[in-house]
Amino acid sequence: MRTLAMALALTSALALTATGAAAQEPATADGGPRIIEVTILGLACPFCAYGVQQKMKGLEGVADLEIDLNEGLAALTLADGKDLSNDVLLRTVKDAGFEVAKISRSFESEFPDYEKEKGD
Amino acid sequence: MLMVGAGVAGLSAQGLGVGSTVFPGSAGIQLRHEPIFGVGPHTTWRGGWGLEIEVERHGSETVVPVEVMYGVTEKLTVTVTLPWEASSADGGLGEVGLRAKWRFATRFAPGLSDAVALIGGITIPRNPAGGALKGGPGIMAGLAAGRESRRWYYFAGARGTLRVRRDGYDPGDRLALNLAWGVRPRLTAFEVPDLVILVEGNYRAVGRSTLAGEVDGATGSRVLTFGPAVLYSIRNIMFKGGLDIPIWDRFNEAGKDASTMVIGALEIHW
Repeated sequence: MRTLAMALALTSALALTATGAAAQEPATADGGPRIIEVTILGLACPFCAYGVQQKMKGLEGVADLEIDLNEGLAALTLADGKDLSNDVLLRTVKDAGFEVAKISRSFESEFPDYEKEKGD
Repeated sequence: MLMVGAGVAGLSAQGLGVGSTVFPGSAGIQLRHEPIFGVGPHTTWRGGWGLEIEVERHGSETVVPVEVMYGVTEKLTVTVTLPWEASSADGGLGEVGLRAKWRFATRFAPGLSDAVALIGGITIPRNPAGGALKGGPGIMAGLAAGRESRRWYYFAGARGTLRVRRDGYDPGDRLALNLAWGVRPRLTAFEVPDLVILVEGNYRAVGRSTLAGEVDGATGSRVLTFGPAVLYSIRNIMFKGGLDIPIWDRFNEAGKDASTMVIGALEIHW
């Protein structure tokens, strides 16, 4: 009985350690946060950018959002392990009333970086 | 005896014994940094809601329109306007407006957008039993174009309203043209208070009214106005104010002059 209790305690401790390790796993290969930068065309005023913020903050996995009006840039910080496809980002910006020029990620992703082709 | 109302846009009804209609202040479908007295091509985002509460003062008349807007898509915004006529002879709910704006053409560049939109709508006057005649619904159609950039704004718009006869009374059709130019003196960051100043020019014409087929020669007007507007926003909340100052007018009614119109408004989006 005593041996069984010790085995259970050891198993639990190992499981907890494993969970903790997963939670502290670096977000990207170099340990930085998982960031998607979306360059938006047509973004001219703070009042208009509010629509982009509303739409992007509603996306699953977005932990933080920074908008730089002068650069026309929305930087989405994702929760660990999360990613957003280019299609989702293109649709979100379109729904907000604007257009995407470029999408780039700070981490390894199954989705390639995106750049609007001239004439699109 | 029927009530007599003096339409401030030249829709004088004296001699006809009919009431005035809401003066043509706000077009009822402006949003964001568009002209206050004219129209622009902006629409709100898909699924976005907006609320605008205005106070419009023109001569001795005050109207408080409450406007609710919704983005059906990012290119199509619809609005419902409920104007409260605070000071007219038979005040109360004025012409309820249902409008739609379709932004059908856009061109985007970094920090800049060009857009063109079609505008359409209907206004439904309240015709209380025993009250002043106000005519039937007004059917509005218009076109608006604009350029919005980080620093500069340019707008042009035209809209016409056909008035339907009711109880033998036709208050006269309307035409409105607008040009506006604006500047953001200081380029602000997101979530920082933002100021834009516009200068608006407007031309408005109101046709002669008719009652029982008789044209009232003392009605109808053409007015040219010019004035500043200020738009101050913090995130999704915008305060607006503007003056519409007559610089030229022609009224068919002798001795009548156009008066300055003032609009103050609060606009919120979510």
